[in-house]
Amino acid sequence: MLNIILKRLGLAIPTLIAVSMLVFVVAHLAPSSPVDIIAGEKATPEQKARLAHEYGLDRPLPVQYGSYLWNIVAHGDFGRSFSRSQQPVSEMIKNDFPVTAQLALQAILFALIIGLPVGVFAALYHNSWFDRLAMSGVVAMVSVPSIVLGPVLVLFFAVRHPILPVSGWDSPKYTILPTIALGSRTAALMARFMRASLLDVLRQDYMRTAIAKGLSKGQAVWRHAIKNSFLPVLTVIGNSFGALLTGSFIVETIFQVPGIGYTSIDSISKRDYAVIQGMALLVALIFTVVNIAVDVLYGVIDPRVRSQEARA
Amino acid sequence: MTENTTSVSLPDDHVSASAPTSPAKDVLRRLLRNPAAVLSGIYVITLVLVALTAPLLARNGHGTGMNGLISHWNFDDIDTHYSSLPAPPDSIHRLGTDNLGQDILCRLIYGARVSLSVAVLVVLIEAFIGVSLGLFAGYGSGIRDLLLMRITDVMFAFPDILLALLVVAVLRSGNHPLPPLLNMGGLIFALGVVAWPGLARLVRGQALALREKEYIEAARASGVKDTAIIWRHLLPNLLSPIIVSITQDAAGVILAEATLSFLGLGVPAPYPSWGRMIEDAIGFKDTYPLLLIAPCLMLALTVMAFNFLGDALRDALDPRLRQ
Repeated sequence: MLNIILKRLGLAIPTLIAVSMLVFVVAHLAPSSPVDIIAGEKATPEQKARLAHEYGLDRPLPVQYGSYLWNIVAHGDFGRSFSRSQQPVSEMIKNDFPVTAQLALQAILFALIIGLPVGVFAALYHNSWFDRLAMSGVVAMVSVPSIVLGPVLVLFFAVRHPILPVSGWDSPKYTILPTIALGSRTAALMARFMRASLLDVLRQDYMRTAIAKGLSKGQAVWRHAIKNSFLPVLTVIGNSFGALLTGSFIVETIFQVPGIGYTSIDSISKRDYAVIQGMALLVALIFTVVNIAVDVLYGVIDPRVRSQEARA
Repeated sequence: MTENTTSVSLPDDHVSASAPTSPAKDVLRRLLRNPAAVLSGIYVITLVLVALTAPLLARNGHGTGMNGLISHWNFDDIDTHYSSLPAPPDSIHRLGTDNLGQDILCRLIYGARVSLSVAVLVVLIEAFIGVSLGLFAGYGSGIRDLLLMRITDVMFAFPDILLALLVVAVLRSGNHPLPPLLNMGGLIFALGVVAWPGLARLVRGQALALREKEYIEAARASGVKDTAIIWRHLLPNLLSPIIVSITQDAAGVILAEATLSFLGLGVPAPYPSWGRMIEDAIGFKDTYPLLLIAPCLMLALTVMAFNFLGDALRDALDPRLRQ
């Protein structure tokens, strides 16, 4: 097991280095240098040159990249924000990341709580009215993006029935609407996959054997089918994570949640590249780690995958 | 028995069993049998027609800078109504006007034009890069293959809308704002440049599998050049997965464009976009909910239609994939 984790991490490092290079190069292709933004329009060329020297921006790009990467790895230093009075980016990450993480985890939890039972019952009562209703709902929810669902929730809960707050992040009550806005699509996807997967398992021979040896249908499903049908659903969690991260940018903007998405969008409008770079790297890191975690969990749940990985 | 059946209208299966049909007809027949696909198809065709005939349909565009998209856009008219409030629907403006005095229906119609144009162009860029790199790696293999796979790994380590966001942000970061048309080009470039890895991997995988087929081997053995093999034998066989993948991606591109526009980094200022209409309307949600609901509905319906169409095409083009 440990071998698999280490191997995965080993493969991830070159990818992450390439991502950091990509982000760095893209950010430095910008037609205006950060110096223009810090110094303002009226600065003389001499002042700009001095500032560029201060920030190390007059060094060759590979050198800048090297020191940027070294500072991150050795000191956890992602540079400083230009727009927020020199606040270290690492500090901003420390403040914002827990908020986004909480939002994403709540959204996944919401998706699991809603999506799994719906999928299970739709499969158990295949072709019933519930199945049909649930699957129509799934199709609709999969196509409703958060930039539509978010405003609609705001409209409903802020204007029509003002019972839930629609902006801020003060108490658990504030997290309800953003969680729903972010998690609904994943819930729908989970319901769909859980249903398909459980239907598949229910047709297996070992299910017939389980019932033949005297288990009730409920016992057979509970003991044998649920766990086996959960594997594809796990992939959905992994695949949804990218969408959840992107979605959190939108949901945080709509509901003014002070997470990494909100800060990133704010920094983009202020052209604060140190922050954008740091946040982009953070997103790539989270994404990669989650994918590894899903692969590892796969092995935990399904021993066949584990032995395959070990052989590979 | 046989005399009887000829006069009665039969389910399509029976017809195809007796009379051989062309593959295209086969696909169309299977598509038409799927009600969701038919509805989505009608919706998409209507939307395309609306987008094409926008200047004829949106006659209330006068004074809103909306006469003639892209070719001659009247930017001066935009600011004249500024700071006024949205107005409810009346006999001229069927869905009312927004806070800039612009007709909502017109903006929705031109929004369709913008959305679809962006989607088509992005998907073309995606297809060009994805198919050529996929073939290059899949048919060439070896070091090229390894290189492509590592590049796609890096691209996949990053949610694609966020990468597009970064690219757009950088393109627009100059001290002087770019003209809207260039900004639009930048948006399309950004969306296209992040969209291809999925398609490239798909094409690569298919090409790897097809390469081993006997008919390709036969062609190679009889001295056909590689380029000819790719064009005449490989590409035609890859067409259906490419078409399916592109249709499904179109929904994603429309959504990505709306999302970027919503965040203020998408379709530039005077061009209407559903995403930005949603963003603009949030401020007036208390008084003019219609302003918010209309673009939300258009966006959701369009994404849904393309999703349905993509799934239906997949089922119709390759019945083996059907679950």
